[in-house]
Amino acid sequence: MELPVIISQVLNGIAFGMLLFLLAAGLSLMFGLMGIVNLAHGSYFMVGGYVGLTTLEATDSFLLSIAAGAAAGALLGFLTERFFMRRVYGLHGHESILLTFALSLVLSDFSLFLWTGTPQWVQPPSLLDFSFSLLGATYPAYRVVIILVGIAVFVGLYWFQERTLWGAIVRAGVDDKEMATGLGINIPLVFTMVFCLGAFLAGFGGFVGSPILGLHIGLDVEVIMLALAVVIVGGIGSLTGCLTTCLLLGMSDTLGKVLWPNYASLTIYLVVVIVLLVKPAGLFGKEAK
Amino acid sequence: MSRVPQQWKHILSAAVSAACLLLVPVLPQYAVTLATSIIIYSIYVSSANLLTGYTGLVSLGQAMFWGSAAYVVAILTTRGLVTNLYLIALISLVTVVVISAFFGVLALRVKRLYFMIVTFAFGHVIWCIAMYPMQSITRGYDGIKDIARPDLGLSLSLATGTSFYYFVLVVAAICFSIFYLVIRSPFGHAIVGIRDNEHRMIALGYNTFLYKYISYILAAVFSGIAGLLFAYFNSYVNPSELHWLWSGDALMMMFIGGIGTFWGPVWGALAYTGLRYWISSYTMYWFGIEGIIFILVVLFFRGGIAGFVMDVQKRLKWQRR
Repeated sequence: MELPVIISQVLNGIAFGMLLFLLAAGLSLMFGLMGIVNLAHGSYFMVGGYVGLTTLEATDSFLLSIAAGAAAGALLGFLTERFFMRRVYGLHGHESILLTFALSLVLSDFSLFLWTGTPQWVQPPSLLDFSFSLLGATYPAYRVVIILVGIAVFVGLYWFQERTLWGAIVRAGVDDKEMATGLGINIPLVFTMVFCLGAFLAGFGGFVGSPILGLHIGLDVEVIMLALAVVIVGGIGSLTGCLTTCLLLGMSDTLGKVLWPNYASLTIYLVVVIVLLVKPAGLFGKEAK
Repeated sequence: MSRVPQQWKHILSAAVSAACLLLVPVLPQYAVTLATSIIIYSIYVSSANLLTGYTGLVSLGQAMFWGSAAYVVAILTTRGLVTNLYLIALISLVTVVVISAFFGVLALRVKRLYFMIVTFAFGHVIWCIAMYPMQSITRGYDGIKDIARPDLGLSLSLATGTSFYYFVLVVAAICFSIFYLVIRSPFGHAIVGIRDNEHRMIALGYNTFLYKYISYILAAVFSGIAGLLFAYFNSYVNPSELHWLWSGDALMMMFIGGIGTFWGPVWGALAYTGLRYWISSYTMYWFGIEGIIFILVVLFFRGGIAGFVMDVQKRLKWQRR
């Protein structure tokens, strides 16, 4: 492979990893805090993208569309937590899976009804719709912006988790829910907030990622699969671990598509299999779950 | 009624159900077709129930065994490679055993929710393999059609709906007898023990990994048998047989029927298939409606049909006292 190709593919991998991070950060936080696997998380991503698209068509403002997509995600997350998940915490665990599975079915058909099955593409905003050259490779500016946005979100989340009172409360909840409740922390409220935050990021990622991934029915399943692979490979533990895993998987997916086009979707799962063999708790997991 | 010994009641209800099942072919053709699919689904859901309901391992990858077996049948039959039903069955079940033996080792390295995610991912792997690298063999989204009904030998043809129904019924009877024996065996008690308290079973000296592993493979084999029947029944196989939605549906049918109960999967398959048949005739948004039904079941009807029946029986007993 030529150097320019390698550079542009590596950048593609990083950009894809960043999109994955927007999704997986919320998913792994929910997993760590509430002990649930939210199969509807990919639906927030897809619906966020579609809501953003509709807003874009109506207002022609890219920023407003991002806000609308993220808000739609957050609203769905709020509704999911308040009216559904709250009733199944502390049961066996499969109830939460079945419930979110059912929700994803409903949201998928709902999207099919509202936005039809035709795949859609979103143009990057005209301000960013250009390419520049980098060490001999021409590269679209929008993807670089996605990488920057991903870094900004990571820094923001890190600051939130490590430096703010709310972050400390969330960490306390992850470590020991009963103790946190005993100290007077309103854990149900924390659950709702975390759910909203995770879904907000998913909806945000759905629209921001739409110029790259496109929008179609079935996108929800594609992205939730990848996000779950991140959870398996990275384990639940740290935000940094989550980002590293996303970049690793984003890179292996992109490079896999270039090197073995026929086996493209399998490269990530090869990583999954290797990690399960070597370190079942995940690369950054604290202990075997 | 209470004077009648419990065993007689069982024998009576078994005789009535057997008579009903044998008499299904007097109904119109579409009802026979529906009944055949319900019986095939029952085997599939029961196999998932062995793993999830009795062993306590929530798997979201059961469709990969159903689908793999169905694809093996489809490929061998349509290409005319093998024509003997028994040989085809053997090959497809060996395939399933190999796949489950491989993925079982990996998936059982993690527990609880992680196990579910890992089986989910593996199901997706098999789906992807069928879709892309093996596209020339599996024909991708188009699927494989025109799978001829098998010949049992002894000049018994299964070409008609009725004869195929009886064939499926016999296979199901054998499968359910085996399920019954497995659950009543020491092995069955051990897996229930693992479900309820794995640490205690380890302390008692059980090799719990081995029990879970065998249960995983056993469940895969029975899903494979169901998938094999389905390929012949439907005469058409496409990637949705391998899709995770179908694994989720297995879990849901189990939940609707009553998780961890012997007949729950049958009730669940009956309710699911009936609802699907009825609702699909009104709207194309079956999945959305299915989702709403599932949500209601998980929120308000957690014991499923079997749990509901037990509740009613308990209340009747109280009233009689």
